[in-house]
Amino acid sequence: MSSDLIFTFGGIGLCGLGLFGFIYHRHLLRRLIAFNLFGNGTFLILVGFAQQGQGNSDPVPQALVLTGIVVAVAATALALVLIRRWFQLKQATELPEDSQS
Amino acid sequence: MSLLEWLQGGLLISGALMFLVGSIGLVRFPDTFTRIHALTKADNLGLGLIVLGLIPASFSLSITLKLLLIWLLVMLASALSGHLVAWEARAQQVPLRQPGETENPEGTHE
Amino acid sequence: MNEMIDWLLLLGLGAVAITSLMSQSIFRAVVFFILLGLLLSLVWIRLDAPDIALAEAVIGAGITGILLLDTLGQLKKTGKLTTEPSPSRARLGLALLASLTLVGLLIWAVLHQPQPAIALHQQVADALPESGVDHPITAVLLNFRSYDTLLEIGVLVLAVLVGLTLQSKDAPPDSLPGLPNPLLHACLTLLIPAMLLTAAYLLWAGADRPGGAFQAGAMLAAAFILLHLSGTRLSPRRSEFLMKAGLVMGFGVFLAVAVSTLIGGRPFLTYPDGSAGMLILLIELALTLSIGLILLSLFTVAHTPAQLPGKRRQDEQ
Repeated sequence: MSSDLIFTFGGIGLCGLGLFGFIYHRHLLRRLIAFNLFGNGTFLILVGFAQQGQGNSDPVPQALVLTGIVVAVAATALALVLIRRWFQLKQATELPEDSQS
Repeated sequence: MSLLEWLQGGLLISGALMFLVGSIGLVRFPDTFTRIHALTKADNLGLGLIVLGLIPASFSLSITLKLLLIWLLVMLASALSGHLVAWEARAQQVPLRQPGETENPEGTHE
Repeated sequence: MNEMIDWLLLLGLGAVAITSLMSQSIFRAVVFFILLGLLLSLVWIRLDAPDIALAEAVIGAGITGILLLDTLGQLKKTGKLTTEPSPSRARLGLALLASLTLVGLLIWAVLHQPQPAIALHQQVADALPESGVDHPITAVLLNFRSYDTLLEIGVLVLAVLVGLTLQSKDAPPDSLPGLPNPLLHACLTLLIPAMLLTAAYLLWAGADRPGGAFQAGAMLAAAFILLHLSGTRLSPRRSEFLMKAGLVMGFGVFLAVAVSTLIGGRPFLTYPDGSAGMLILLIELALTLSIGLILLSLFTVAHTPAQLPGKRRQDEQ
């Protein structure tokens, strides 16, 4: 198996773990971590799957993932601002619809 | 294999072993201060050995200088971060522990 | 042999990801998430993508980690982090079902791979001489698919605007003193120039080898955040106008170049022959500064201690 295919499956695994954590956890920080895992898995699939079978690196998906990483960190920072604001207003680290279940 | 290759292999393997020792220390040592000790000292030496082992393979002055620069920067950063962690741990009065003493259940020291 | 390294990396990736998801303490979860970023940057090297590896090392392991740890510290300081009761069984079942379905679908898709219709990397290689730069990824980012990059920097500006809007008006001015540690300040006088130099080098290198505006911008942001944490303020409160100008400069310059080619009678976002390299460098310069400032602002917005409803301040330092 080529590295590309191996890490495509790795990316699939990360996506699965991320989705699992995102549904399973209620703490917002943990959900954010799970969300980021999902994102990283997507990046791996995008590059790994595009490159497998070609035998050389493909600049187009790599460039897309590069912008994706920068957008992901901005989204994470924004989510953290929202989480802090929520904590500051409600003294809670969970969403109300989750804390009942 | 030539003498140089043996030397290189020896340096690389002993560097990796230093990392292993440092990691074991990080897991096994009882408190924050001894852990810093394991992490900063053993890993810096390991990195140094690996850099020394890689230099003969590079055949170029610029790559050699870059490798040495990496070593230097990592040493600076790890010395600084080790110092900061210890400094903060003292400020927070993190307790010293003897080997075998139980850690607090969460293990959430910063 | 090489394949073994891949499998080992994959094993480490899985173990670290599971630990960061399921560990009891959130602090440990965050630390393992940072570790995951470092491992991923090795994975990118294995995938022959040094550009992404650079960005991942600075952003995934560095900046995201600082952001998460900083938030965690603040949540801890301002209130107790209640240990949540473990989720119900129904929730576990739902999560397992959803993730297994997703994994199954993705594996099915990979095994039934469609043949790629066009070999994009071939097209990129063919068009590279006309792009104005010699590094294919920079060419894709700033020439062939500059639309995406333009919109992406627009998204970043939008994110920072939302962040600034959310900042409470009555928040006290950022009064955290930073660490009064003499060794830290002594080292910073060495490290900050080195980081700025590295950022400049990355920007310059982007023309013909791995590097470019995104990595340089992330490096710049890391230097800014380090300065901020050590107590040197580069905050919007001091010179609000300059900061805002810097935030939108990348987007503005990019848009100005795009529109000015329209005036010359060319399609949107195409560079005139011969001056592509110059224009790309100009855009990248503006982008680097803006990305650095945007990431810094997002950090400072999150970092500014917020005033709590009960008038509790967290000036324990």
